[in-house]
Amino acid sequence: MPAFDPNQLRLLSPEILLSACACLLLVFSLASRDARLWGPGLSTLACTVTLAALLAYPLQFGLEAMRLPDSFVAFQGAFVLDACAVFFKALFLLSALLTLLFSERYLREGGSEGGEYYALVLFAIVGMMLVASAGDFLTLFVALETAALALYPLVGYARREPRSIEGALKYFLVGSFATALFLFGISLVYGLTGTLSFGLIGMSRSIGALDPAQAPWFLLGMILVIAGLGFKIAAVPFHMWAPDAYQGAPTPITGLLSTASKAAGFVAMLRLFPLAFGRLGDRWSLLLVILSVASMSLGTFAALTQDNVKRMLAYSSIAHAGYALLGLVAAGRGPDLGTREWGMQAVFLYLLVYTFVNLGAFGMVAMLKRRGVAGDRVADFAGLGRKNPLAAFAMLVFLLSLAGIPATAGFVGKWYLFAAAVHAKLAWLAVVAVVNSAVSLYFYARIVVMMYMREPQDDIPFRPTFAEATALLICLLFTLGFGLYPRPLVELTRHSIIAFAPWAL
Amino acid sequence: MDWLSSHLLTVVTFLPLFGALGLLFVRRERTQVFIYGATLVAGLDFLLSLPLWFRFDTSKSGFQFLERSDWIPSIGAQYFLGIDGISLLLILLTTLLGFLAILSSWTAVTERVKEYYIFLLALQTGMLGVFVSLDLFLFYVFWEAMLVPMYFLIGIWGGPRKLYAAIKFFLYTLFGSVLMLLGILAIYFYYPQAGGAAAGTFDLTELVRVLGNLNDPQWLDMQKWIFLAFFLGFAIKVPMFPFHTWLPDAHVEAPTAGSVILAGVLLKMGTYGFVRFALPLLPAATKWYLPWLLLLSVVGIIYGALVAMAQTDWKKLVAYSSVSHLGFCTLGLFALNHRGLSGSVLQMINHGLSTGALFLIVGLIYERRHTRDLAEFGGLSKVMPVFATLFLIVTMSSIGLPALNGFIGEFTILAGAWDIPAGYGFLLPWAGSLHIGGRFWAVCGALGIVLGAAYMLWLYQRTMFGRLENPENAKLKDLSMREVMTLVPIVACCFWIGLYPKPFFDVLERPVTELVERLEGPGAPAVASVRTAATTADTATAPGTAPAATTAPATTTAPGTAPDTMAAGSTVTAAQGSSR
Repeated sequence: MPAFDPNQLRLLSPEILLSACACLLLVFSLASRDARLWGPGLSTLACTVTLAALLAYPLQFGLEAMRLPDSFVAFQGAFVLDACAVFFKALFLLSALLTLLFSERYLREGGSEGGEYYALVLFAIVGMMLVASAGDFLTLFVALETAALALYPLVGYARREPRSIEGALKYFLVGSFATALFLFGISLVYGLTGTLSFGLIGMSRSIGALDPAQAPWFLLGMILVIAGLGFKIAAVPFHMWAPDAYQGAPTPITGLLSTASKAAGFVAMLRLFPLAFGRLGDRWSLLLVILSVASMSLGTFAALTQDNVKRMLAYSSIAHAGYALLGLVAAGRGPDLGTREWGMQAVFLYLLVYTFVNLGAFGMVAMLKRRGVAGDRVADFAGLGRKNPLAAFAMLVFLLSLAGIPATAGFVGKWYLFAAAVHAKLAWLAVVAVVNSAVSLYFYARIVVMMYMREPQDDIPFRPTFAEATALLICLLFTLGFGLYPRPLVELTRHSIIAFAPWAL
Repeated sequence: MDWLSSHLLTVVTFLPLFGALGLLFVRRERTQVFIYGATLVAGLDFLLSLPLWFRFDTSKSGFQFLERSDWIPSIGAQYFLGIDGISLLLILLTTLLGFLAILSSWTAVTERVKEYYIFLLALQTGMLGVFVSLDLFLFYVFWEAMLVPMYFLIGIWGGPRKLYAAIKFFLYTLFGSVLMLLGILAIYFYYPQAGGAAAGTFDLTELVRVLGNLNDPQWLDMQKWIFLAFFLGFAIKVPMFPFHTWLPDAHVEAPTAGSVILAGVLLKMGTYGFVRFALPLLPAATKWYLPWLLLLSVVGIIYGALVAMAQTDWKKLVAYSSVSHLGFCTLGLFALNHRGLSGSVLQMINHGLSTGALFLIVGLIYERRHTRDLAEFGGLSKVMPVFATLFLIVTMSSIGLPALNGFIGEFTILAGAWDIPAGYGFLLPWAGSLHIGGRFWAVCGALGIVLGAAYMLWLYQRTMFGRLENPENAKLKDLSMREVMTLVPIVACCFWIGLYPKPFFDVLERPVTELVERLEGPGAPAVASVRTAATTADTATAPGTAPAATTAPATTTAPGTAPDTMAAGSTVTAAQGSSR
């Protein structure tokens, strides 16, 4: 066993930096209970600095330079820093930034102020960032759990509200169950192949280390791993926790759960499936087809009847997990390299777009919270078009983007996914997807109707803080700008999948 | 100036949108700014579109005023604009009706004036974009993005059931267009396999060049599915029977300007889609489905006319008349010959003019009486003579009276339909081997004209003639100068097309000839598809089944002859088939 090389720690510098900041925040919160003064500022600063540290290298040399040479692999392959990892780490940090910008006033209205909120968000992000770099099952498991353990208390952060506690409890119990399944799956795979490394597992399959008697157990292990990750991305049938947890959690955290946490599940799949289960592409992608169809359909149709916006968006995010799975399916079932790369790229593109759009939408819901008004019913949007035309317009753009209407970034993302399905000769799957996508417009339109075709129910003015307005504008500009001119996004994601070139061949 | 003349299409397309963006920054209380500003922008847009007409070279084939630049290079999507005679006429129709629709809204819309004009202008850009795009990706973006402003126009300024009508319109059309998107994707991914560039493209001219006359069995099989996807998208928009149910709701609930745009321009996007995309890209599949397409067209003509006759709501009557008139457009279109196609395109313009005018007329009356119930009216010609005169002209235009535009369009379409080969029809074995097809379709169309005259004249009689019994009608004011001005340009155009249609046919000559050559010329897949309704109905509705697949390889080997790749069921040659 080679010796531990401290030099390799520099690859982890963004994670180390962020963890240090989170610890610092905890120490600060011991000193003063009122985090109002320093909490938002420090945590935002920490994320920005970490983002800068992370992007320093690729910005200097371009993403193509991250083509997985040995110098970017640490600890015998347990930690990988390639273009894919950088892409997702940046995505997590950006979603954390937006979440933090939306959090400050929301927490103040809720009357709960503590430094630990900000520290927990940072810890969750550290966990997700590690997921993006996982090269073996051990890193993956620890990283996923780090993120989850930080998210459980965050969901239950509004501890005076029964809903919040209920949501947190469900999230925790179902999450623990899923973790157990995941761990059991890992143990089966480990027991049969004798290694935890994704790359070695893939190779051991190919050299026929498994005899036929063991194959079903290997498949069972794979299925259990998929179940564990299915929980993370809230795909049907592992979605039960999502509506309650989403509704109970503080709204900015709901945004984080539906974007960064989901993306973490996807990046785990991206890391794991092609490399470790690459030769079983048609098997796992078949399972993902089932998850995808179930998630799209159930998510869409359950969302039709919701009166609570957070619940509606929860079901919608279940459906969106289903859409995103289309890309992975194409990556697994694609008959040629072009198709598989297309599927990969579609997942990258979609998750990035979805992060900004969904955070924008949840941010709007968070901004509606005022003293005594939860602001999460559909009716709470009544007359927003009159009260604040710009905010209403932003929400309109987010909703259209979620529905996949052109001229928004959401269309580009969905277009890539549908194209992936057609490319992989799964036209029927694409038909299911577009029909669901069309139906979903119905419930998104309910909010639009409230905003533009109903009179305001109260005369409380809608005045976002500077932080909220900034975050909202970022999301809006992203959604509209890249909807009209998607070229930079397409190029970025095309370079980000370069990490997968070795296995895709 | 150079820039302007080389980017004329971009300017015409995006001027309304930029006008709308400018209006965003005006305070909402200053309603006059919005009214005059929007009118000015739309008027300017119309004036800018006129050079397209004057500088259009009718002797040149292919597309003109081309503009091309990269948009998303890695998938091959381009910003590619260009027009031929067909799109030229529709663009002029759009800019004219857009201007008139705004002119008609001055007094009709008093609430939320700011948003209203912004949405109208944004809608204008969306519609123009559909007609100028030559890149399928770009086309789709315009095609769908245009739904959003229309949704708001119906949903905010509509009638009592506006929310229902708005979401119904949006969902219906969205449902069709997402399936069309899959069709576009299928073409996009097939193109490299068919020998096109490996990078893929959405360039329509390039796709047509490679795929238009491709006689590959796999492609012929795929076409049938792709055509179904396109068909749903376009047929819902047209709307063809039985996909028309959104139309009465949307029309009745929409504000006047919305109805004018909806009937005048939006419906044409469906027929335009068939002409521009479905026919050149999927000629074999078009012919394969032709009997059904013709059947749906004539059913639409007759059904629309009969339902219109039964209406008691003025606007709903006009709405159903649209179903009937659009049936003529699709009948001419699917005649697939020179006369049918040029008549069909001209009839799109005619319908835009006369039905647009009819909706304006309903709007004028509604603004005065706030009802559209026909029982409330009668004898209006006595108090509103100017109104009655203009209404009469428009009615005659809609009926198809010679010297007015409707006659030219309908006559040409029927002439085209008369030439439909007898092969395009159905054989009904249970009715003594009765064969319907060929000239039968033209006969049905002629019947539709008679019915059309009946409901329109009856409408005119019930509202304008008779005794002035309702006291509320007695003090109605006749049209103001502005209101007359909204109708006069349309009436002028009606007479122009009716008396001297040559310039219009000249413009259409080239594109239609090229299209017909593509469909019927050497190398074009010829299909004689007579269906026996009873025995092979299944094969007809489920494409890609055994007969087509088995005959395909045998026939593609015979070069020069028209391969009979898609004959299914009992085939009757053109000579044997007799029309009824």
